[in-house]
Amino acid sequence: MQQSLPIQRAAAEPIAPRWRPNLHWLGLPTTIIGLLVIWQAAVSLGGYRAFILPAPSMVLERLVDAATSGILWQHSSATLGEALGGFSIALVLGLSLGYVLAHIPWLERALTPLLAASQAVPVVAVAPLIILWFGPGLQAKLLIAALITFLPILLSTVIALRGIPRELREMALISGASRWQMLRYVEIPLALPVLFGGVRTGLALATTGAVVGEFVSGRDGLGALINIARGLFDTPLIFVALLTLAVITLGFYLVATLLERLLVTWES
Amino acid sequence: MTNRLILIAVIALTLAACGAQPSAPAPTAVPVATTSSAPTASGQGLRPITLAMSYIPNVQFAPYYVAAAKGYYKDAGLDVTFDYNFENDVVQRAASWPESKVAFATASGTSVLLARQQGLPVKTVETLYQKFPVVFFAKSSTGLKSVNDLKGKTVGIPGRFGESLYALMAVLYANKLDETAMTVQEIGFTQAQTVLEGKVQVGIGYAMNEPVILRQQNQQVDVLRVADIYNLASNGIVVSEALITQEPDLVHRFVQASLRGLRDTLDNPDEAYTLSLTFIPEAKLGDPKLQRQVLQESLPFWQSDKTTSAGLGFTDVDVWTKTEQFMRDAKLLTKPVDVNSAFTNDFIK
Repeated sequence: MQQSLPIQRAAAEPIAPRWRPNLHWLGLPTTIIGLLVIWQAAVSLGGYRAFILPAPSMVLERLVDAATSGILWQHSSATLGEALGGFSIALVLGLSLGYVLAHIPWLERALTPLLAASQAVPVVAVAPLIILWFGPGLQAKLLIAALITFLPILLSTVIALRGIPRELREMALISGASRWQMLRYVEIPLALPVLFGGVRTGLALATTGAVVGEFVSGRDGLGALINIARGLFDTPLIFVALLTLAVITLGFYLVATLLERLLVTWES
Repeated sequence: MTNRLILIAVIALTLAACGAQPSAPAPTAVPVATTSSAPTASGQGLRPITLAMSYIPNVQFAPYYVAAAKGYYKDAGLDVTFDYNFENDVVQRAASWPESKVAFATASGTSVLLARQQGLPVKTVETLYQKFPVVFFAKSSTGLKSVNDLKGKTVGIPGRFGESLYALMAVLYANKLDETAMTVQEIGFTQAQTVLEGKVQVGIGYAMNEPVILRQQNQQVDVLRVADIYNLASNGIVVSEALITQEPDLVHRFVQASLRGLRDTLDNPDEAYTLSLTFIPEAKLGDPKLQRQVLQESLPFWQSDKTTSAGLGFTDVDVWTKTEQFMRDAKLLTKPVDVNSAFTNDFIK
């Protein structure tokens, strides 16, 4: 029987993992509570009136009123619809054109500088013209949201497809992959991680686009609610609209992240 | 498979959200209230028309809300939709009727003159504001009793555009003053807050807005009404010349229904306020007394000695002539504009 040395025994014995409390989940709540405390302290110490800086409790009260009366949903659903609708249009167009540009380099060289330059024009400056041409309805809001969302999705599509190693493409071609098989089994799976970067940016921008359209014109939507509340000198209601916008954008971000985790399985 | 299902669910939700939006049923407590028929039964056989308003939903539009809520537009055979834009946008949209589908808009006389200079064929057919509603205001401790008191003060203006700018220029023009007599600061739409906080001494705002909120904050406020210094052509109903030529009866019916709403508002402001809230449910969340006061302060601007003799909605040629003169001298207009072509009183009769 062979006896093991003490050092060998020590190495062979499983080391009981030392318990460490997982405090990561505390980060976000702590930050939020901290911000609320600072906010409340600023109101109390500064002696600000509600129409200049309302206390968190007053904003919460207005949030409850707006939610229970249905007003918050009326405006939030309008913004959600416009943002998601505009994003969907931009997604379809951005992915399609991005695919074409990624495969036709001379076209990309011709178009991309123009598309990039178009993004230098602030959408808030173009929005009144769009409202003038398309009227103040849903159509114009969708277009504004799509305009602001389109380029990040397009560029991420081109970058994602261009980033696929040539060897993998050649291997697929040697194996007799058709264009569709190349897209389905090589390009889409490999492009997804980069594409989702564009999707996350696009979703956040789509909300901005919808709000810009509502600022310029319209009765419904969180942008319109901010305008209405400003006219009513109801600063707590402005805060309610801003917080709701933040929650919607955060929700979009989380959904995009969740989808990425579900769809990009090969990376892990 | 699971991934595909999730994708389908997300796309379905997206489409549902988009599809639901235009006709999203407002919860029962919140009338969508963008059309005149919203509070009543849907208008079968009524002519659908749009009134584009140059501001947000607000009690300052009470006469139109009253006309809608009491069925005056319906009586005139009209199903009116209210929508809300910036002033320049509504004038352009009214000018491009019928393509724009905006038959009527609310805009000031100054905008009409500027638009006509640019070749936009628009006319005022009813004047709601008989007096220019912009004011200079300050805390009483500042001391603002006359134009002379503006000298050396810091004056906050939203920006170098619109009615506030014209108000400042008109006061300087009427008193032969130069802007260097005071320090003008662009402060965005924060006039009440910046005056209250003492960041500027004087603000330029609307008589029914900023001074009202300051008084509600228990501040004594001094107000200089621009209309008392140099009255300018103010807000009313604007239409395209094409509409007047092609459908004068439509213009007449709309103006008459709107004037019925105005009369009722002046006669019974409490009722007008309550009816207006149907169209601005958001106002119920904040301070209802403040909004009621906003309406109260608006009432004196909608009538004058001239309306007593000539009728509500009257457009005064003298005011328009003076306005045109000032705008030309101040280089806001680069060439003369024929004032008599810019409005008509035919439809208020």
